[in-house]
Amino acid sequence: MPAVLEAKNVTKVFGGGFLSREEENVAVNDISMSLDQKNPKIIAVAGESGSGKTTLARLLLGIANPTSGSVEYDGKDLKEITRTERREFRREVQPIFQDPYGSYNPFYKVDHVLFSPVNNFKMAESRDEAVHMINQALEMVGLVPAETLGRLPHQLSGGQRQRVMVARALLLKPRVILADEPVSAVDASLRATILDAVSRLNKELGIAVVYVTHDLTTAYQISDEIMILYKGNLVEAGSVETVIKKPKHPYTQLLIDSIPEADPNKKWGKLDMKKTQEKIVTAPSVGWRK
Amino acid sequence: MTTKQKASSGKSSTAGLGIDVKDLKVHYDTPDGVVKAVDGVSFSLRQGERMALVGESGSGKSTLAMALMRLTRAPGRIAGGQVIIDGQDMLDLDEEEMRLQRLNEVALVPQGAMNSLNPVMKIKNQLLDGLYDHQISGDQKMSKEEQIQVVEKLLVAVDLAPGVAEMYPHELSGGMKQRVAIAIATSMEPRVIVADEPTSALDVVVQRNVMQTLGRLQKGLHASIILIGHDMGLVAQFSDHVGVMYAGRLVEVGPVKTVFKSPKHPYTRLLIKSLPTLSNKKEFIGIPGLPATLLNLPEGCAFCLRIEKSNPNPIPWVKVEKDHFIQDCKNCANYGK
Repeated sequence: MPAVLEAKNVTKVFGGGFLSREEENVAVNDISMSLDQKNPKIIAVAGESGSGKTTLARLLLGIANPTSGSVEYDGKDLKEITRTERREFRREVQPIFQDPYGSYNPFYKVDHVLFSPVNNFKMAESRDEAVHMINQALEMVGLVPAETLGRLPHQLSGGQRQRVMVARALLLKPRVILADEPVSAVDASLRATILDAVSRLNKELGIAVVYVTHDLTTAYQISDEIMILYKGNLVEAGSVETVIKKPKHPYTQLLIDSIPEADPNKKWGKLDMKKTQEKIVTAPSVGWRK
Repeated sequence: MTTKQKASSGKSSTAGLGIDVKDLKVHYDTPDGVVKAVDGVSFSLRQGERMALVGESGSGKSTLAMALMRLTRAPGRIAGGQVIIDGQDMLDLDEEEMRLQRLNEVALVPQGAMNSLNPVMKIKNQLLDGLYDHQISGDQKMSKEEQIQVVEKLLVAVDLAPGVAEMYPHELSGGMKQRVAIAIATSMEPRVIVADEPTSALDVVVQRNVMQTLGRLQKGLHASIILIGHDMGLVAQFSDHVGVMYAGRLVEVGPVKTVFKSPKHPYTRLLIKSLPTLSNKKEFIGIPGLPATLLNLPEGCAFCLRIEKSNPNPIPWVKVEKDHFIQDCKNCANYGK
């Protein structure tokens, strides 16, 4: 059985080209990853700004086209699928973006973002069924339908808004959820509830999740596997336990070392940036490369 | 630093005390009523000590930072209290006097230095701007050579190459801009540094580097630093003391090690519990309910309202042990234990 979604040696180059004054910028360099159908996992794609993690996410969503390599959905290249297949792809692969406020029209009640996908993809036979589905989805992400529906976006907290987005994705019965920094715009105390909802979708409904983030601690908490990106290159990948607990690549080590641990007894050590930089550039990548 | 000609003005007169804040209140007048964004906050900090103020968005921490600089803008106003630095209540000064105190006695490292630098001014001029404005060199202007020296010294102190002096902000990375902001803030050797989420937009590695630079400078100047933030990890790494804010009030203040080891206020306890760590995978628990709305907040315990309890009585500020205080509300004290 082909993977639901698979990136095969994708590379994305911005700028450069004929008559261009800008230098080439390789945002994603020869990265492969696949989301298994049988054994849906949560895969974290982690890296700092400029690592190419969002570009990789956009390639997987089919919003951007790879310069070389291919993204395949059910074994078919995204560039070559038919309109009907693309529509199916748009339903089965659901994005959740960073800023939950940006996804709403401030003049419409939140009901709008929930009812329109249901209508659009004809997920329900009748309005009653639609309401029933929406209530179920909201409860699944830990929201009380009566307290959520009928409100305007600004009347909800950031955490609630983002959970409504998770519920929206859920309504379409997707096989893959691609969450790009879903909690970085949300207060720390509310992050847990959102990530918990995402993790439950994976465990209980078997939805594969790509979790794009800069935050290794939350990645460690919810994912099964992790890919560490550095300047467009995959430097280390593997099970989250191995990568976080026994990082092999110097960049991964630096990242993990630099996380401010919430423990006053475990302080940051001294750091020789120059030496570390040299090591990072020369070290080979670690872990799965397909 | 060579620029310092006021060094003899008695900076070490009040022994040991860096800043003393007493019952500070900042209110916003809105059409719907008064929002008490900072509602009677008191704390003090010795010279050379680091304190972090943490809280969720809307807890009043940034409002407090601005009030310490006396930069509160309408519709906000400082409704009462004292901010004493070097024996002088900052709130008693007139506008001009206060303007001269900023940078000189109390300096701000702003949130997101990206937007706090002037985009059409070279870095060197931005570094000298404050010094000129405060007429550090008295009547005579600094000579060209002196200027170059001062700028270079400031840049080197924050680990930037002297060549940065001739650059414009857009040529610098986020971390470099933040370093420039730190250089400006420390250029007149202030007694108190207020750092409002200085690294919130930076990557972890850069954050670590920048915080270590800030810490080194602060130690060198023997200044007190107040770090405003929401990242408990950064607090644990950087500060000696921590103050936890909830709904405009301080609910717990204490030495960082004690507070992290045995938090006494339920909100602090949940805040620490809700942190994801790298050491163990555990069930992820958020803080239940929603952050308090500050509009028409009733007297009594604000945290009780979040967890569906109530205590309308004034909450006493109780000393737990040395340097460790909490708002001791009988009704929620054991919540989440």
